[in-house]
Amino acid sequence: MIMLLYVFALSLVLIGIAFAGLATDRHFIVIMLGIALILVASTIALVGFFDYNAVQNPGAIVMLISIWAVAAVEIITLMAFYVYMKYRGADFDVTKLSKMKW
Amino acid sequence: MPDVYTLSFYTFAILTALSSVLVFIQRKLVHAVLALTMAFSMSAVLFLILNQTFVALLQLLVFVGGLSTYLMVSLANEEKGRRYIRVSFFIPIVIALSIWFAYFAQLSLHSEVVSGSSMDATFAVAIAQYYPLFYGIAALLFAVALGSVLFIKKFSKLVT
Repeated sequence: MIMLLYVFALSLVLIGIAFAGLATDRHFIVIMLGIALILVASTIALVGFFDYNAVQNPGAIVMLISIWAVAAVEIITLMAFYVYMKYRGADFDVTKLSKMKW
Repeated sequence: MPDVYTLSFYTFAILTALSSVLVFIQRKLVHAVLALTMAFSMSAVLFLILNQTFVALLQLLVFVGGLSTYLMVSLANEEKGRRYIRVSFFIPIVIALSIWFAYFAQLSLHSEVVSGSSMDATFAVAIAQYYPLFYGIAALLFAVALGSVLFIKKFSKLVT
């Protein structure tokens, strides 16, 4: 059996990589990918808990699926926003995004 | 001496971390999305190692099959007019793969309920009562994806 500590260590490493990427990159899409990576890290931690408890809780899995659905909807909406911004010729550096409406 | 499961966990954990690093060091966005897709796939294998078959299948269906494909197609069409993928060729393959995965997931659920080996029958029954919610989630995702595609289409016509 794999120790919970290793799963948590992996989850923390992934979150660390994602935060490092978020801190160093300012591109809109890369920030979005970093947030998706944090989502994967949190899912790995949750699955580690499932394995540790050796109980398959349907409620927890349904909650996980709901969170995934919201995250997926968010990414799809952000992609539409990205294309919109691209057509309007906006800069994708998030520090230069000062307008909420074009 | 670590057993096979532990060694597999180490291997796929390292691969997941490496592909996560690749997301941020790629110059092209399409390559970054490919690296993220690899991280999703590797984490799905990790879920399998951690005895969560259902979550692993969902991870493959939602993230690798759905979201990464959407990101790839959107970015590949948008990035400096360069076509990385022939969309008309790619979409039927994605649909076929998704149907195959869904069929496999249903088959494995039923077979495990009958044999009662790896998945608890009460768990499968408890999950079954949430099927309307799953359909709702699928409808929501479909509506948002369709809406965004229509929005992009309408807006690109307005600009060009």
